[in-house]
Amino acid sequence: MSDRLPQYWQTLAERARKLDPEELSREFPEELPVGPLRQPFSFDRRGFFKAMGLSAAAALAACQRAPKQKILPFVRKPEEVTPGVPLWYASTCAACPASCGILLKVRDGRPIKVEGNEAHPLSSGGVCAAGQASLLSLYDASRARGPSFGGTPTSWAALDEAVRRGLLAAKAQGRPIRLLLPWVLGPSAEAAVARFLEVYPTAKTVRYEAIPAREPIASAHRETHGAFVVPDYRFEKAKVIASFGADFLGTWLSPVAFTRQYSAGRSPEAKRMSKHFQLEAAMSLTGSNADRRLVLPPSDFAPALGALVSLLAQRSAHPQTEAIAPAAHGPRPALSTEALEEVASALLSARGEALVVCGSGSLRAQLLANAANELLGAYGHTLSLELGLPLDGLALPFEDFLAELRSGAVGALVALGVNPVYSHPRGEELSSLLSKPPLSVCASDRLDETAAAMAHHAATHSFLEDWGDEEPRRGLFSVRQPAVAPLFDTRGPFESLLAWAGIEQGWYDFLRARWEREVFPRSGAASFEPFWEGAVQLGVADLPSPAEPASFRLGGLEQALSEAPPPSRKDGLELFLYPKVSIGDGSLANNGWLQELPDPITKATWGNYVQLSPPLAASMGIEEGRMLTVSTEAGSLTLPAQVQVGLHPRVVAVALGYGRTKAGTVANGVGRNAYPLATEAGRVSLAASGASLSLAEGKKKLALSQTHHSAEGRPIVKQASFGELLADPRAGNEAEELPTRRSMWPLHSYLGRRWGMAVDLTACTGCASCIVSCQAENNISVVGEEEVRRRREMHWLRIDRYYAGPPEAPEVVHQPMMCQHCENAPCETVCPVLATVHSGEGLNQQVYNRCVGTRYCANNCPPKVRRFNWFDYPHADPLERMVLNPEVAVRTRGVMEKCSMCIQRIEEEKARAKREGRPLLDGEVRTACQQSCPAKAIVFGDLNDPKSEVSRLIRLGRAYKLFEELNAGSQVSYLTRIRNT
Amino acid sequence: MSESTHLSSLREPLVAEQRSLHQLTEEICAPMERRPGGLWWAAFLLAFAALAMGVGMVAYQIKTGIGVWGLNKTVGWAFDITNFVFWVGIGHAGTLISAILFLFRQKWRTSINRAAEAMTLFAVTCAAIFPVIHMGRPWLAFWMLPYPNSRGSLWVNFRSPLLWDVFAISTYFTISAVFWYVGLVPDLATVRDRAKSKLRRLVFSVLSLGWNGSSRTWSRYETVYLLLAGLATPLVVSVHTIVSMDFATSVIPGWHATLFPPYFVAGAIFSGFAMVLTLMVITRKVFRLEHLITRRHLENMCKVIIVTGGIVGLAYGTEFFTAWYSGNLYERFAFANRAFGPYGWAYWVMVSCNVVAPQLFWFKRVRTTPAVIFLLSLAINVGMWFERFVIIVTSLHRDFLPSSWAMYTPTVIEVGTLIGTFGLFFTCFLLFARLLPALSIGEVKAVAAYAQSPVAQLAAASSGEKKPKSGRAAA
Repeated sequence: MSDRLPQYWQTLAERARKLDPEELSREFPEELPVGPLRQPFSFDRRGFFKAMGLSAAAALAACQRAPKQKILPFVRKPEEVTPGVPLWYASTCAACPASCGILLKVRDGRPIKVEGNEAHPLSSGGVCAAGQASLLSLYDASRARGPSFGGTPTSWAALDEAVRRGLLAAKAQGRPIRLLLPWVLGPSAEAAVARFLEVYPTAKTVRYEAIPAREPIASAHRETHGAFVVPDYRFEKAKVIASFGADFLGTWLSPVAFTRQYSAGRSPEAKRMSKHFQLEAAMSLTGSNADRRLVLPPSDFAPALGALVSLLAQRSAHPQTEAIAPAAHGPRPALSTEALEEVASALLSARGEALVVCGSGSLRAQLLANAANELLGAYGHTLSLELGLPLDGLALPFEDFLAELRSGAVGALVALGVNPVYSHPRGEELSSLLSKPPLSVCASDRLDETAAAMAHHAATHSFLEDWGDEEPRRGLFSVRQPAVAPLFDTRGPFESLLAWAGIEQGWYDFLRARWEREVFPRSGAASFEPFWEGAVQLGVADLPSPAEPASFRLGGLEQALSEAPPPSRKDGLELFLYPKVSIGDGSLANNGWLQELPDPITKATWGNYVQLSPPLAASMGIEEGRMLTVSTEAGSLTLPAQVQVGLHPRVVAVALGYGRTKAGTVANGVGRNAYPLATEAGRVSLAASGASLSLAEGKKKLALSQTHHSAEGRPIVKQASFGELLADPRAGNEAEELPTRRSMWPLHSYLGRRWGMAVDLTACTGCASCIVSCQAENNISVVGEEEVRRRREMHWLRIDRYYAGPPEAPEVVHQPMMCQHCENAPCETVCPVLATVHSGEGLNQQVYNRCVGTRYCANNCPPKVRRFNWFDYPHADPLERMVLNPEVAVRTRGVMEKCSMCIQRIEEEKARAKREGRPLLDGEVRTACQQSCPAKAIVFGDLNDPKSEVSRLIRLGRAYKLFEELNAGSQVSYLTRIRNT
Repeated sequence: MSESTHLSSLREPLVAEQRSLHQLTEEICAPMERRPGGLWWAAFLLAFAALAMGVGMVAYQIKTGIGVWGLNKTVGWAFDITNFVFWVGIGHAGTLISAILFLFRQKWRTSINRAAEAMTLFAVTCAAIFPVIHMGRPWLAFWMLPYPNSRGSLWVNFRSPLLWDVFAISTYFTISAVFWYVGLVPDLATVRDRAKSKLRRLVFSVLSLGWNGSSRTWSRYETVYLLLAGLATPLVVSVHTIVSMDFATSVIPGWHATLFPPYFVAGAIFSGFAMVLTLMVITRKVFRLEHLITRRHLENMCKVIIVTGGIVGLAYGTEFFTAWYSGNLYERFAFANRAFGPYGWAYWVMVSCNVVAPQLFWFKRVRTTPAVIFLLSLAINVGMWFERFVIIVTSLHRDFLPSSWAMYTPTVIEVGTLIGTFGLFFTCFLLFARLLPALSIGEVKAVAAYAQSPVAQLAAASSGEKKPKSGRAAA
């Protein structure tokens, strides 16, 4: 290195200074270095280039070609899809056969919310709890993910091949082919079934429903009116309603539509209120809303109806009165004559505007209900056969089908969307019989009890992935369209049926072609394409549909009554089996939202129990939770006791839909299956007489969301009778003397909007639809049975239920309870970290990120609506996570949460109005609970706008707020409960 | 010592037994300087085991989530805040004895003030655990402090009584610690001067802050002590007043009462004295200090308990009267439920322990028999714990909306955590009794019979000092 010169120094000080880093780093050293020799660390030109060359080479050597990954900008995005902006698709719910119109909120290709379709004439915007929860079943990890042979995965081609072969073999041998189907399928599906039957001449349908509701009604009408039709009920037109065990607000036929109609017919402001009598065995949701409720054991439904018909016949002006009365004669019911007289005279006073409905599975009871409606002139007014739902009159009776199976005659069996192994009283026998035919194939969404008993399984779409249509009222065509691409290798059941019938046409084409052929001509529209698109977009096409009028046939009634003797009554207790509002027949059991939804009456979650009346419990020394064994001729069942007011003393009631064994991880083993206890003599009856009750070992604490049932005389739910209200608009809500209210703090000034809510307790039936809506909208965790038992359920919105009066005839009130968004919120002052604050629009807001979890706010909350994340409630399953609403934060453990009045919806609508440069209109922002409410009991809006609906409601004499004496200033007003007593 | 040497027959000496000043020093320092006995080890291991279990419980709770406690949607506080208020209350006696009794020249405090102050510190430490661990996210506990931060203008909520607690407890702990430490300095010097090993001497040299025992040092010391006593005095009232405001400022029937501050302060002193008695009865026995912590000390404390217990009993009655007289539906129910509801048993445990049991102290025989005092003091401790439990749980579990009424049952974790804090408390106390002079050497000497003799009085008057020498002089 000859060119590198040594660095000379002259003094020690100079040398020391050179090495001083501070000196070196100084920008302006005191002395400017003179000459190259004095420059510290000088580089000469060559050295510089050498170093540069080396570093460049090193840098290049470090490089290598990265794997090529092509990213593409979202320039050519799919039409209509904007990430983060939800789309809404109209469809038809299939959670139950009621076929309500729904809207699906689809965000980035996945449905995240089910809402009611306002344009749907049947449900008019309402949707029930099960309908909303069906969304979670789409993302159910226990769904079957593809076709299988006896549980071994296979391909669709192989399955179709096997099924085709089996069907053709049966056809060739002339052996019967049986199609096991639900009673309600929708018109196009029925057409597909008809095509299948054409292809296979030996094929016949067998219809099944777990809870016999439609078939007995249609059968009775076949006898009395010659029409195998479930009538179209119009509760809004009825001034007097007498329901014999029909839980029409909760589970019977079409609860959403009926709730809508019922609340429309009970409007105190319109000075119109129907009178509702409910005669039932156990306390149902409908019974809890009745103006007059009478209890009778299930075996008394037919005798009570008979006595009612006799009374009506004596006094009505019907031409066939003379003949009807003796026909109706039967055993006396154990019901006081005065009570029946009261019902009869009320019904007669509203002749032509009265309605008798019967929820019994007994044909005799249904026949008598028809006779009563006929005597009251109800046909054509409050119920209509012309607009009713016709059922498959050619179906083989289930009893005959069973006989065929036992004899081994059946050559091929195809089951679609039914689960009789679980839900038929002979389920156990069925499970061994179903595999007997040479071909047995089941199409269902999971490898359930029935599917597991059959050889082949065709995994079906969720209804949210499939096309379809329904005709719940004649001429009302409700379209179902897929809202998401199939998540798994599944196929629609009718796609399969068409394929197995050897029809080339796919299900969508078949459906569309049928619409073009059958539906479109009735519409009067010019061309099919716009008509079809309009129907799909709106979700519904309401078309005039001529139907043959059916008239009452006395002979049919007499004949049928003589053939349907009154049920024989045995001594002992009567077992009454009923579907719950949440779980229903059990087909949607594997659903956390529904399992954790408190029953509107018992407030129990997760599992079933034996309901018994307080006198019966007292006589046997039974307390709640005590394990009991219910025994009937059919078998026995051990479940915990639940002491329920309003139950007939001779009745024990058990909910159906539990005790699934192959539904999935959520439902398996929850509760016990009560279907095997149903009586089955020709027709399944969900009741059994001669039941007995015995004490079993142990106790089991029920997972209840509410354990105290009296309002303790507190002015929480205010109520009055309709008569009182007509006399005084403030009846039941007389102004209280409150001391002058002063505040230490300056009052909030709301310059813009001030959000508020009004909840009409008269309209609210307690159906719990709002709870699931809130849960779906706000990503509320499901915590499980044990945590509910510890009183830690997370629902932001709950429905409080109180009893008053004697336990034999309790008065029931329901009160939706959510954050009251108090003006001077007690929670706000006590939070040490300002995690809960008041917004400029009057909302009490919870800041999850800031919350440290002292729970002081929850302690200081008068209505106790705050919910705490005691643990990390996992959304672990990636499939289940897809249901989460991205607009709402998922809360971590240790954080308080509560109702936000759907702040995300408020902001969305505000932003939209701002974008469109217009003021926000009243009614544009609707909270999730409000949207789904079938009774339209919840109204949300701007209290600063005197013209808003909510402002109008809170000015009513019926409006009151909770805890006014606390001076907290609730923003939620309740409207008194008015009963037509 | 004979009667004639007393200054007044009305003023019996507090420490009556004939002891020279040296003997006093020896006796008080003895537990520190000898090897611990089997009894101490047994007690220490038991306390430490409880502490270790408590640590385990808290660790599990923080790892898993607060759901391991028995709380629910209705009862958001139970054992946690009960324990917090209980321990804060225990602490109060120490401050009362050291500050207020000092200001009132109650010389009988001298034998017990050191231990009582130590008890305060340990009790407040135990108490301070609960507001932290009861949080859903205890790792964010520092958000309770008003410190400048980068979260915009995000500040703490000065309207929240829980924040006032943070200030009250931290102030209380600081003042108590300083007061205790300042009071220790002369004795630390004594220990330093007696130290045989180098290390011990070094440690106590540092701790005694260069105490030299001069008159000037004593004079300054006494001024500081007096000032600190003055500073600490308002805390006796303020801390529990503020703790009571956690409840009093809320809207919950059974909590929302203007009575709470005096009621809580009296209850705190009541429970604190009970705890001091519990500890002193053991300490004087174990360390054989019966002549220093005399029956008269115990008796005096019993008298305080009668008074404060009376106030507490009066408060119980007043609460019921107010609830009835208010005519408020919810108030009336809350108190009826308190006495006759599902937690009625807890209420009656509270009444029997706090109102009935202290009445036995009216009998001189009772209040001068250490064994009985010990049992009664335990009963009062239990009763005062239940008082807080009753206030918190029975008010919360059935408030405004009956739909939300719920029961609360503690879990093993909660009980274990409570036992763990007792473990912490006794571990600290046993270590204190071993490592530091459990009695104030200097102050005890001042009240010893010797110091009260006319000779000493004269000597003290002539030297301008009230107290005989400690520190270097005593050594």
